[in-house]
Amino acid sequence: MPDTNPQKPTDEFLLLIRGTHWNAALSPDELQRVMTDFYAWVDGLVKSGVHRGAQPLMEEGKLVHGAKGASVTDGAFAESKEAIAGYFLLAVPDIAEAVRLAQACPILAYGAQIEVRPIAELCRPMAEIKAMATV
Amino acid sequence: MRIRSSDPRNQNHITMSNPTSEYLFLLVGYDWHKFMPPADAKHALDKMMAWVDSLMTEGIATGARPLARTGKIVAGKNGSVVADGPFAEAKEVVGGYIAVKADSLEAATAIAQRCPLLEHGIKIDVREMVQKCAITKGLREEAALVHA
Repeated sequence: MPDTNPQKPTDEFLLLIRGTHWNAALSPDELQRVMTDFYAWVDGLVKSGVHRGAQPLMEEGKLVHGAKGASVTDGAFAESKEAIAGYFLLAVPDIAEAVRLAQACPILAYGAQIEVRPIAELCRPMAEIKAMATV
Repeated sequence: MRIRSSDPRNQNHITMSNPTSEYLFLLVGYDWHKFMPPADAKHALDKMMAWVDSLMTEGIATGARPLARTGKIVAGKNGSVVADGPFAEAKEVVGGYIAVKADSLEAATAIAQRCPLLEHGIKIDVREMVQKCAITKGLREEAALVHA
């Protein structure tokens, strides 16, 4: 099967905030300033009407895997550059705009990263099955 | 319809009276269907969609969306680094999410254990959604100490 993605994007994008403990090297004053900037960034998203939801996530959680969820382990998410610390759901016309808004997030300067993912109309397996059915 | 489990640990949350917290299920793993016959993949997906539908109907799930395979990674000061991503191998890529209400992390985990895609290699990262991020909370606690 050729690796073309038949998924159709929607007008919503999920911003996954990646990185926990990026603040470890900051003094309380610096951190206060960064978080003030961060909430100003969030306010900007709300005021411009693109903000559809956001939540910080607890660092501790559970990882469920295996048939019938037989394996449940404590998620080892703390102190990781890759760990997902929270999300924002934005309604914007295209990924370029989502990226532009993400770029203004103040915590990027301290090592956090933002993964910008289009919300899809269908998950990829279903999109592929539908694409095959219409050939 | 209520799904009954034979595992006694899974009984308590089944009739949820007043779920107090919200949890995010991050569905981790992509391309799990690539090595299955399409009919089997469709069968697995039908089961998955029926499960999500039942969670939504029962008011347990408040939202569920799939994510497109590719997006962008934004990093660095002023977001100066923009790359095609995610970089992770397919089995570590977040493929979608489900937001659920539950009384505890354990109850949320028990719900996650019923996901029909687990047997096809999907993993679920179950995380509580919090009203204030840990960093802000820490700042407020520090401020409270200073003013105490």
